[in-house]
Formats: sequence, structure tokens, C-alpha cells
Amino acid sequence: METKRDEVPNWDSFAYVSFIVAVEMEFGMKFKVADVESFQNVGAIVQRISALLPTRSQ
Amino acid sequence: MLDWLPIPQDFRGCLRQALESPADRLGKLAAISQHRLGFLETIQLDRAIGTVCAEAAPGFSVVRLAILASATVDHLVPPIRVSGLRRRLLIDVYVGPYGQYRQQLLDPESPLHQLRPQIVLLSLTMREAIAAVPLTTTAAEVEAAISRSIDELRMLWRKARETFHATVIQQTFLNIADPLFGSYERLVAGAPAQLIARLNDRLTQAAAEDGVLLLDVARASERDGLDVWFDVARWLQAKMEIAPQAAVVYGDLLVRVIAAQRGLSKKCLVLDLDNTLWSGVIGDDGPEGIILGEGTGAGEAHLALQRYAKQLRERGVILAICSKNDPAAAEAVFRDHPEMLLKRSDFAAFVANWEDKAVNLKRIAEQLNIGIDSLVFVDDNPTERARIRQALPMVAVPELPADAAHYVRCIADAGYFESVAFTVDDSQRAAQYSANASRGALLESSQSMDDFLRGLEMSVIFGSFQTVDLTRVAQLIGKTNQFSTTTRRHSLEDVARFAADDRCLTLQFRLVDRFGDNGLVSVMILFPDPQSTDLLEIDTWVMSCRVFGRQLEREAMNIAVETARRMGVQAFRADYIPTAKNGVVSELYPALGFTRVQEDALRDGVTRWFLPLSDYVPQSTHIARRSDQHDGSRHSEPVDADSPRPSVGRCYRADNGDQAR
Repeated sequence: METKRDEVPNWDSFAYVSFIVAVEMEFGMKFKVADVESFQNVGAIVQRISALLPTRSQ
Repeated sequence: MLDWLPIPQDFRGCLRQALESPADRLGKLAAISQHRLGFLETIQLDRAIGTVCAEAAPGFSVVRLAILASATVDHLVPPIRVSGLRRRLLIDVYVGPYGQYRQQLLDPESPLHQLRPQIVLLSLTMREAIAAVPLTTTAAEVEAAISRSIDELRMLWRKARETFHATVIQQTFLNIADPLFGSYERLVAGAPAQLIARLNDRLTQAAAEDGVLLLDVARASERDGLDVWFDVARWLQAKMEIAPQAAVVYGDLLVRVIAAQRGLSKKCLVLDLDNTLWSGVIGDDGPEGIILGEGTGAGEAHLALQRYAKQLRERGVILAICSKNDPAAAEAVFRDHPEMLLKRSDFAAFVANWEDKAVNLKRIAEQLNIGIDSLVFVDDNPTERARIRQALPMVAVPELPADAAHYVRCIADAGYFESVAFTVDDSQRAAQYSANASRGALLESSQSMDDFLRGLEMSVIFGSFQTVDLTRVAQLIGKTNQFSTTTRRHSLEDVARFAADDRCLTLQFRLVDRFGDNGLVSVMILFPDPQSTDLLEIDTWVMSCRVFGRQLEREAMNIAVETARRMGVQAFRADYIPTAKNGVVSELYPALGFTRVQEDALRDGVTRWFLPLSDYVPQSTHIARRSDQHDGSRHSEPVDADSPRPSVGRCYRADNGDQAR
């Protein structure tokens, strides 16, 4: 959760966008462009996904 | 997206299984690629393709593609490779550095020059192609600005061709400009959206003139909606102009063009009858009970499929029927039902029986003398579709939607019959196959093959390549797989070059018989030997399978020898390069009197043949020559559309022109 972009080997802007695309496709949601630029670590992304997903019914 | 492909069952399981088996891994991956995969699955499959060594892949061919782009295209590479695999092409993709397409083409030291691509794709954004103009710019000034952009593109096209002899594919411009005037937009020449619309028009015109192929993403975005193709977030984040969700379609659209250029497009549409061409079961419901024709929505839906099939036939697609039915009942619908748009004579093969459809499809391919991999099988019954996919994986089987209203769209979306040219010959091809069915009937009624051939009253019309023939010549070379001695593919530009070269002997043959004109059916290209002016090498000899067994190869060789003798040539040399499909010509040269030359340098089953022209004994045939006043060689004439042509060619083409009108 604390992993940051510059800690992953071979991570570049294209890999990052590919990752964002994969997350959006997997969860069927869209981040704001500004959000994507502000994520500091994996935890921030997870938090944003939880906020954007509709609350699961029990 | 990719709705004509079946949904994968257990994608991950199949992928794992393929990766665990070293034997035929590529074949297994190709089977997975025949499914409706999303973008993420496509990326996974592409990684798996990367684990296979391209050299160890019999039945697959390698294509070297260079993409020169002014946007990020890296995410398009996996879909391009997977779409290639779908057609048994291993596409080696080189992506030029972002935005440096001019430098890449113009600098002989660039990595592009080491790659020697066979295909160069120019994928440019509208921003790159043309600068915005003031809204008050006049239409004439707009046209002048567009001309400058087009001239620059043409320079790049020319460079790509001259340097690499590559086929150039130009992507049309995705019109992502937001409207300023709404419906009035089209009346403002300087409005950005209108500027791009005009640029695409002019681009089309220039591409047609220069023989450049188009990848029409503008058209595709109209089909799917601009939001599917362009996602502004991706543009801002990564300068992707083609959105990832459109990438799988993009890959397929591009590879269709590449495959069409290599003669891999489908040739024949095989249709089921009950619940496909009409609604209902003719054997149960009878001619009054089936639903077809104007008046009901359901009847019109099936009529629409018939109309589409008829239009495809006009385009040159062969039609066939494959139905589990009583043959008499099936024939009766075509004869008696007033609403039937398709007629029995529209079909080159008609199989109605109770046998396995896989057996019947093989029979149809044999009867038409085309590869089984050039069939598209359209059937509403999921069980029949599954049977064919399992028994004959090389046959394309569209996953028809449940509602017949969407049948046409499904077949059209699949792009089975993608084309890189359209000629008068194409429009007549389906009729020629139907005429072949009549020739078959004559064969059955003839006592012997000899009687049959005499009864055909054949004549050959021949000559060197003329400008108007070049497209058809290149097309025939590009798509002939069976009667093809070397299977060297020559582009339109190559063919034009050979035609203009006095030292080359180029010959094209057309065969006419009492059932009709078979069109341009054979092409020979002979190159001078660099060491000896007395020797010509048969670089390429192709013949359409429509005219196999008609002795045309004998008459063609008679003509080639006579023509070459007049040029002062002493001998022919020819190679036979075996492929999976050209076994029919493995013994061609010995049959024509050539003798084999043993050479240690020859590999992979290639055989080399030699014929001293003084030894040549003319082959007897039942083919007359259409004209005796022109020798047909004309090899020293300039190829120029405006120069007067000898009457052989002109007289023939005048006939053709009349038919076209």
C-alpha cells in the first residue's frame, strides 16, 4: 500500500497509464485526470477506487 | 467490440495450458486469438506470443511493420500482434520514436532503415497534419492549406516506397475537433471540424492516386462513436489518440488491410437456409409458412441479408449454400418463392443434404477450387457453428446475434472481405464461378477431357502489362497461393517498375470461352540474368485456380518462348519454391520440358529448372489466340496510359468498359 511509483523497477509514465487503464477497465469506473496525477502510492489509488465504487449491497 | 467472435470459455485456463505445452504453442495461442478478447486479455495473450520463437512456426508468416506516429501507439501493438495471430501472421512491429516520423524516414542512419519494413503505417494526429486556420479563412485558402499538408504526406509516402519498397498505409484523421457552430459547421470552411473533414476527403483522393492504402479510423469512429475511439483523459495523460478500449478493433482493422494485401481475405460466403436466409423451416413450414420479404419486420430482416449477399456477389464474393435440407424443397424455394431476392444462379455451389456440414464445406471448397480457409460460414444454429469451429478452425464462422435484424451488421463488422482494390474483373468474378458450374456440367456430358476442352472454344488474349492492367496484375500476384511458382509478392509499385523496364518480359493472359470471359487469369514476370543477356529467369508465374486444367499453362509457355525468342533470348531458368499450398505446380516445369539443375545452394525443397529455347517443342492445346496481327510482347513500349495501344488490348478493354457501364 505504501509502494510509490519510483520504487518499482522499469516504471515509467506509459506503464503508469497502462496500469490506470487496467484498473478502470477492471472496476468499470473512471478517475479524474487530476486524481491520476496526484496519487502518491498504491494506498491512495485503493482509497479512490473505494470512494468511486457504488456501495456493495449485502 | 469484436462482436463477431465467440466469447472465450476460460481464457486464463486456455492460456495457461498453451504456455505449459511446448508443442504447437503458437497453434494453441492462435486458437485463443479467435475469441472476443478485451484489451487486458489481449495484452496477456500478446505476452504469451512473445515466448514463441518466430522461426519455429510452420504455417505462420512473418510481416515487418513500422509504425510512424505523432501520438502514443505502444498500447496498440499487442492488439496488432494478436489480430495478426488470428490470421496466422506474426507481425514484427517497430514503433518509431514519438513524433519523429520525418526524421525516421529521411535519415538513412535511423533504426527504421535497419529494419527494412514491408509495411509502413503513418498514424498521424490532425494537429500534426494541419495547423488551425482563422475562422474567416476563405474556402480557397483552406484548400490551399490542405494542399500543402497533402503534399508533405505524399513526400513521406514516396520516401517510404523508394527507400523500402514498402506498402504504405495512411491512417485517416480522427476528427476530434469539438464543434463551434453545430449543424452549420459544414458551411464554415475554416472551422476545425470542417477542416479535418476536407483533409480526409483530399487524403482519400491523394491515396487513391498514389496507390497508398488507407486505415480508415475516421469511418470506424463514426461506426462506434467518437467516445469509444477518443478518450480525452488518455490524450492528456499519455498522448494516446486512439483510446485503449478501441485498441482491439484498431488492431483488427489494420491487420485486415495487411491480410488483404497478402491475399488472405475471405473469398466465399457460405449461407445456411432455414432461419438464416428466411425465418422458419422449409421442410416443416412449407413455402407458405416461411417468413420472408416485404411487409413484416422479421421478413425484411432476412431480405436485408439476401440483399447484402447479393451486393457482396457484385463485389466479387462467391456465394454458396450449405444446408441440412431436402435438396428438392430447398431448390423449390429459389424457384418458386416470390419474395426470394437471391436466385439459384447467384450461387456457385449449392449443397443441401443431411450430411455433416464440415464434410459439405470441404466439398464446396473443392468444387470451387479455393482454399477451405477462404470460406465464411453463416449459420444461425450455434451447434453447427461450434461443429465447424472445432472441425475446421480455418473457416471463419461469425457469431450471429440472436436477432436476425442484426445479421448483416455482424457480417459487415467482421470485415472478412476486406479489399485493397476493386476492378471490373472483381465485379464479374462471382458470375465466372457460376459459369464454372456450367462448365462442370459440360464436362459431365463430354465423352473425354479432350472433347470437353475442344467444346469450350477457348481463346487467349495476351500482352505485356499495360497501365490499366497493373492493379489487377498486382492483385492476382498478391492473392494467388496455389498456381504460384515462387509466391513472391510484388506490390503495385514493383509491378509498375517491371512493366516500364525494357529488360523485363512481362506477360498477362486472359482466357475467354463459350461460357464467358474469365478475365485476367495468369501473369508471368521474367527478369534478365545479371550475368547473361541470353538468359531470362521466370521470377513469378501465377494463374487463377478458376482456369486450372484448361491447358492455359501450356499455351502461356508457348507464348513466352516465342516472345523471348524474338527478344534474342536463348534460355529460361525457373525456380519452384514450395509452400503449404502450391503443390499443384511442383511438377509444372518438367511437364513443360524443363530439365532440373542441381545446385547445392538451393534449400528448403526449392528446385531449379532450365530450358534452352532451341529445344522447346511447342505444347499442343485447344486454346486459340484471339489476335494474329500483334505478337503480344510489346515489351519495349513505354507504359503510358495516353500512348496508343495496339488493338489487341484496346479492343478487349473497350468490351470491358461497355460492360462496366
